[in-house]
Amino acid sequence: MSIPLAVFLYVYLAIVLVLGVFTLLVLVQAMRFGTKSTSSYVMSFLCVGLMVLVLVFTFVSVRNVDWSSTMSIGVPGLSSSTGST
Amino acid sequence: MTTKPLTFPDKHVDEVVIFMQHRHWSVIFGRMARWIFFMALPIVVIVVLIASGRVASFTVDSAGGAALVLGASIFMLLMLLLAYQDWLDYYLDMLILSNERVIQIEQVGMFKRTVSQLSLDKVQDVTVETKGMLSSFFGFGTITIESAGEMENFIVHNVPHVEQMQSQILMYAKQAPRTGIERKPQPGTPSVPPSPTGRP
Repeated sequence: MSIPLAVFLYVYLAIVLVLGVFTLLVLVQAMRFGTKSTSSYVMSFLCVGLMVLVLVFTFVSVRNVDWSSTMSIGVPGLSSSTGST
Repeated sequence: MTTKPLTFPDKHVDEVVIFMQHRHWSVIFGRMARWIFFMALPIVVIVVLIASGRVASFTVDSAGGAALVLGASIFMLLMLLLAYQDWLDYYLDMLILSNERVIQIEQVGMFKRTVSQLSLDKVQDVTVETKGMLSSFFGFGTITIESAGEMENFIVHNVPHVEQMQSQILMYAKQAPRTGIERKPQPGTPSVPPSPTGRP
C-alpha cells in the first residue's frame, strides 16, 4: 500500500496544532492562577521556547524531502497470489 | 531593594499575607527528571544513528527518514507539554497563611482546582509529620491543621520548613479574634461569601 508522504506532513501539522492549543491553555492557566513570580515566567518561556526549537529543528531536518513522493507500507505475510498444493 | 507584597485573588482589603508556600522542590525534581529522560531518548537515538553511520546527517531526504523525524518530533512535543502541565500542577498547589485565614489551593490536572479556607479562629491544633530520609534531611513533611466544629482537617503534604510553618500558624491562630468579623474584599474582585464548610 502506498501513502503519499504529504499525508504524514498533514497529520503532523494537525497534531502540532492540537498540542499548540493545549499548550496555550496551560499557559493561560499559569498566567491566570500563578503568582506572577520569576520562576513561572522562566518555566513557561522555557517550555514554549523548547517546543518552538523542536519545531524549527524538525522543519530544517525535513526541508529536502520530496513531499510529492509516496511511501510504501507492506504488511509482512500477506500476498495477493494463491498457492496450489 | 523593595519586594512586592504577597497577594492572591480574593484577598481582603486589610488582610496581610504571611506566607505563600509551594510544595518542596523535590516533588517536582523527580517528575522533571522523568520527562527529561523521555525527551532525551529521541535525541540519543538520532546521535547514535549518526555516529554509527546508519544515518548520514541530521537532515533527511528519504520518505522513511521523514516519517521517523516527524514521529520523533511529535513525541518530544508531547513530552514537553506533559512536563509543562506537570510543573503547573506542582506550581499551583499552595498553602497560604494570612492574618485571618489559612488557604489550601490544590490543582488537580489542568482544569480542576480546589480551594479550601479555614479561619484562624477555627484552628484547634497544628501537627507536623516528617517521615523518611529525604524529608528529614531536607526538612519537609506533612502539616495537619485540625479545625473546630464539623469542618474537615487541612492536610498538606510535602511542605518545606514544616516546623516553622507550624509555629507561624499557631502564633497567628492564637492572635486571631474569636468573633466572626465580616471583611470587605479588595475592589475589583468578586466577593464570595464563605461557605459553612469552608470549601467553595
